[in-house]
Amino acid sequence: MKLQCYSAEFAGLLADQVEANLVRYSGSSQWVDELARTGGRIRESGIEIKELPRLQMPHAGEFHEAENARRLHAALNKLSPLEAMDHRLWICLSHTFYWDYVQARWPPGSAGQVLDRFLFGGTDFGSLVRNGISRLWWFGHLTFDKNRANPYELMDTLLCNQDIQQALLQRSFGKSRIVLHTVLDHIRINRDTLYARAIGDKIKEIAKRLNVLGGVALLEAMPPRAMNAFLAENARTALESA
Amino acid sequence: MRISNRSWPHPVLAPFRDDVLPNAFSFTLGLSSDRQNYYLKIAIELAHDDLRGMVSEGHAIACVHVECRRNFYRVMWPIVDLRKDLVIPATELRGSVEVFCCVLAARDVTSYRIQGQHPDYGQASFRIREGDFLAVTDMMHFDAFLDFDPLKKLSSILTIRESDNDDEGPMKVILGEPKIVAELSRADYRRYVDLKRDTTLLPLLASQVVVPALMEAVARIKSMAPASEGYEENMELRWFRSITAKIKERKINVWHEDTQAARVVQNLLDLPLQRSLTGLLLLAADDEEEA
Repeated sequence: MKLQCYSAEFAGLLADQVEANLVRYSGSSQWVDELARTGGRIRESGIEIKELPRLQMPHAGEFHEAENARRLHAALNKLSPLEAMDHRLWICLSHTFYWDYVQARWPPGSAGQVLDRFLFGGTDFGSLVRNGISRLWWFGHLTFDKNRANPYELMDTLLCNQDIQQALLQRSFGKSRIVLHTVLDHIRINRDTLYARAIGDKIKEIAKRLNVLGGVALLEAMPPRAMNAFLAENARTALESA
Repeated sequence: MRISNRSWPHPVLAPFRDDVLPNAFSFTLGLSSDRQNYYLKIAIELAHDDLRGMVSEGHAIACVHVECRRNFYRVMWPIVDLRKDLVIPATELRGSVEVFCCVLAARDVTSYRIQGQHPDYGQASFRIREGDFLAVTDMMHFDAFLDFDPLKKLSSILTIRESDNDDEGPMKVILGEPKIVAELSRADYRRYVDLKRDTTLLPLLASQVVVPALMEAVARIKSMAPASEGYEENMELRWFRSITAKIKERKINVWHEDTQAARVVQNLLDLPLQRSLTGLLLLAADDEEEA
């Protein structure tokens, strides 16, 4: 099957009318289906896939982030980063096949939240990991490592706590694959020791300190041993202040 | 990654700071692309003898850093012999891409001093770790879009469409799609289809439909300051990229307050009025012959 996407005009229209349509985001997607059917607003994207995977629905505070990211990324693993930057694709998926998932994952309480999760609240790199569906693909893409027995091992670490991906992927240093993987591997290896408690708060603090260090040094040029020593030292001191 | 507004705890040679003088450190960026890749040719110019010596002796490394502002592409490469050719897959980049070069410490140094460091540093020396910045260039940017084909074919950026809703009424210009859409009422669209069969009328039809649509488009560009968020967002649209590229190619300062959208469009279309008037003269000649 070929993935469908919205026209740019329709995606823009939905973004412009978020306030007016806010209440409708809590109901069924019939209204958006009807709107999309008029005037050539749904297009074929040219991206061929076998089928879209079903996502596990949030239940009792469990969001199944890693499992859902694995399913989506595995199904769309031929997507290039360029294609995965196309807002029209993700907005269409968020408003059609994954409507129920996005709605359950982020109950639409404000226009800002709808803009971020069903649509895109900007064109910066951070918006790619805020849209409800695009984020799952990017989590997979950024952490996938074919040289590991489990290629999604680092993604499991990234998503083991909500604060980790927010702390790492909303900052510029998290864009560097070498830095991101080094940090995630450090967390993975020391999960039961340095990060045994208050892992979210610690990662937030460490991310701030990495940002400061990145002002003095190019983090991707730091040798792994020096980076690991920095992370270990700061995980210990963050523990003291956490 | 912002470089120019940083404060370092040790002297860093940079053209925008006086930590170390002389502070000449720059690079040239040659850029070309095809459907598959972007090709970057980097050549750095580093005049400082101490730093050149550190690089040649392996105490420091020269690097180029490439970062896409819109996605998660951020990669650093070492530069050997002050030159580097990079091939970056076209599928990795989109929008504004930042490039800068730097010299980094290749090992820890306990007492770093550099010739020409600012007098305020006195005789101080500094502890430097591997990876620390020793010198940085200014940042350069390029726009990564592979479909720059500025107005070679107008149909690639403008389409004329029949309205779904309006039977009669004025033309609408829609700028939120990859192509500029000139939307005609149903009645006008029928007239347009009838008339365009006559090739002598084409320049006139162009003036009636294409020129006002392009004027709206140029007015939109004029209202967006380059590097603003709105400008970045609009660069997603093919028509916006094509017209801004053509404007730059023709060295038109569309953002100057005295620059009129009408003049810009005439320039871009190579004087459409002249062609319309020629079309009218041809029609007049036909009428006389028939009479």
